[in-house]
Amino acid sequence: MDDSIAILIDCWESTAVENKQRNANILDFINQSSFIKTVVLASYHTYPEYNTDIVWYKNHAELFNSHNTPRKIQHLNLVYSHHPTTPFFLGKRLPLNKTESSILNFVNSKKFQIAMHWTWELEYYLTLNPNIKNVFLLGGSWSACVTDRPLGLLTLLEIENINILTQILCISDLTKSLQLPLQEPWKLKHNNIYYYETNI
Amino acid sequence: MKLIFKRPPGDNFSFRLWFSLTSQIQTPHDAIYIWATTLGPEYTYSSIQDGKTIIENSADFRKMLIDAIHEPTILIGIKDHLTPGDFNPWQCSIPIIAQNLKNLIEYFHSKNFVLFTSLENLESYIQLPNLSIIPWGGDITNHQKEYAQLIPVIDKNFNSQTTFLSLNRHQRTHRAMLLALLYKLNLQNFGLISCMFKDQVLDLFEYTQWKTKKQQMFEEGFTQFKDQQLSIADEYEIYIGGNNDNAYNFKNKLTTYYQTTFVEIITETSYTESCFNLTEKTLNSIYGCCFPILLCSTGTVAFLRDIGMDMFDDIVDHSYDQIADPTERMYRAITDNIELLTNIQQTKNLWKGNEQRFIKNVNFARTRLFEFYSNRAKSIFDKVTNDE
Repeated sequence: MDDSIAILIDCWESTAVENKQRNANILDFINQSSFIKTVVLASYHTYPEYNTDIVWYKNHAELFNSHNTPRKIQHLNLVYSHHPTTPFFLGKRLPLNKTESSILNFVNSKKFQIAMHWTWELEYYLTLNPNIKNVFLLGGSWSACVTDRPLGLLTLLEIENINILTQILCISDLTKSLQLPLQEPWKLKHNNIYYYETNI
Repeated sequence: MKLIFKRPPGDNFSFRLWFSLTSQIQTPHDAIYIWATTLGPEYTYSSIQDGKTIIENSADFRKMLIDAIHEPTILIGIKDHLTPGDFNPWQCSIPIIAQNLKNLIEYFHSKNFVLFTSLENLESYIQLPNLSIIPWGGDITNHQKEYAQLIPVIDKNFNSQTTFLSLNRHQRTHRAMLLALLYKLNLQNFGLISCMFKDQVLDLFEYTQWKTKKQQMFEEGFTQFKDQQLSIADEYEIYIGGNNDNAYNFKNKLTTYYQTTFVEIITETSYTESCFNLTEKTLNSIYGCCFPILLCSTGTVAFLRDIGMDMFDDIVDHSYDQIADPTERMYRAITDNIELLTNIQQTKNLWKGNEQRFIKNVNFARTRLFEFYSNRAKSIFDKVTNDE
């Protein structure tokens, strides 16, 4: 398989067994997949993590805000360095979420791990790494965050020259039960891996 | 041109000071005043304009700030603290909004920035060749006129069975830790204690993520705290029209608590950061005429002492003030003052014997406190602008 990047969307701490299992599956999948060279942590509504020295966020700062970073990227980073949280829903204050500790503290020296929240960050990274052709979307919830977030499916569909894939053991949906097998335009590739068919 | 992006309620003193000083400069400059809260990731504000709901968030304000920078000199008045939520020094090296500002100033490295800040000791996080920092008073300067009209609480109730007051309104890690400590040391019956986040924090260290060898002790105290009723039932709505009128709150609510207490364990907004924003919490304690045990960043007591405030050093053991470790500082603040917190009759007698000193502090807070902030800001500003 071509060089790939895996985006982990909202792998938050949760008491739900499905989510714990999903997160364990994600780490297994990443560890076992040599074609995944880069892992992106896309945890939204978790801002206390952003400014820490944890590897994901440290690499974010180094890539998007170092002396070598192009000024236009630094400029974007000044505005969008942190994704604004969404503290209110239907008039009620939502508690902040946390990335599950197994994911947050995950380190695999064979992978490049970096936090991102925005499409422009991914696009910039892809320009630096043109060999990456496949983007795996993992995490939850499948019908909400994995679809709608700035690094979710709907935005990825607007990026040219990438293949969008997922691994069904590495996604979950608490708001609705996950409909398996995934329906078109998702198509089974092999071993629980689906790809998004854009030419239908 | 002066650009005012957002003003917090109650800030007249520092806004006017910023306006006055920035009006003196003749060279080309951009003058921007902004409420720091709007730059924090959690900031969201919605309003209705022409029948449409407009939602603004921190990215909007960060963009406005960057887009406003044109001239060689940039004078930014940034009101309030630079730490949204809690700051964890074990995980972060700099508060998140301070980091954003540092990035901004580094990005525009060919321009000179003058930053007016509510924080003392911001230099501990940001030192750049193109930046001058002017601390111009924290939230303690808010509602200047309203506070000046308040009657200090000298009509204490000497039949009171409590010595101390501990108000813990907004959820912060050091307040949760303090409550655990007070209960572990069985001090709860000696004080009036409030906490509005009791039900929100389930596991103390899961929430605080503090690193300390005293973890077990604090966990035990927190279990006791969770099991017991608090002596003060606080309410969410304490301000008229949501306008953060702290003087009104003092007059109508806090005075009652101050009448029956003689020591206050003040849990300021800042604690784990090395920079700090003194707020109305300290001011309330001054008007409430209580001996202060001040839980704030390292060196805060020394700062107040240096500017002329009587910190009652002969009565309160402030050794804790210079301790860097957050847990140890808190532990010493309480344990070094156990006698003051628990010996009711002795503490009342001490209060009676020092009543005039409380009045002097109130007078200081009404006038000289503002003179200090104003004079210092002018002095630094003159130096900065003359050096250019």
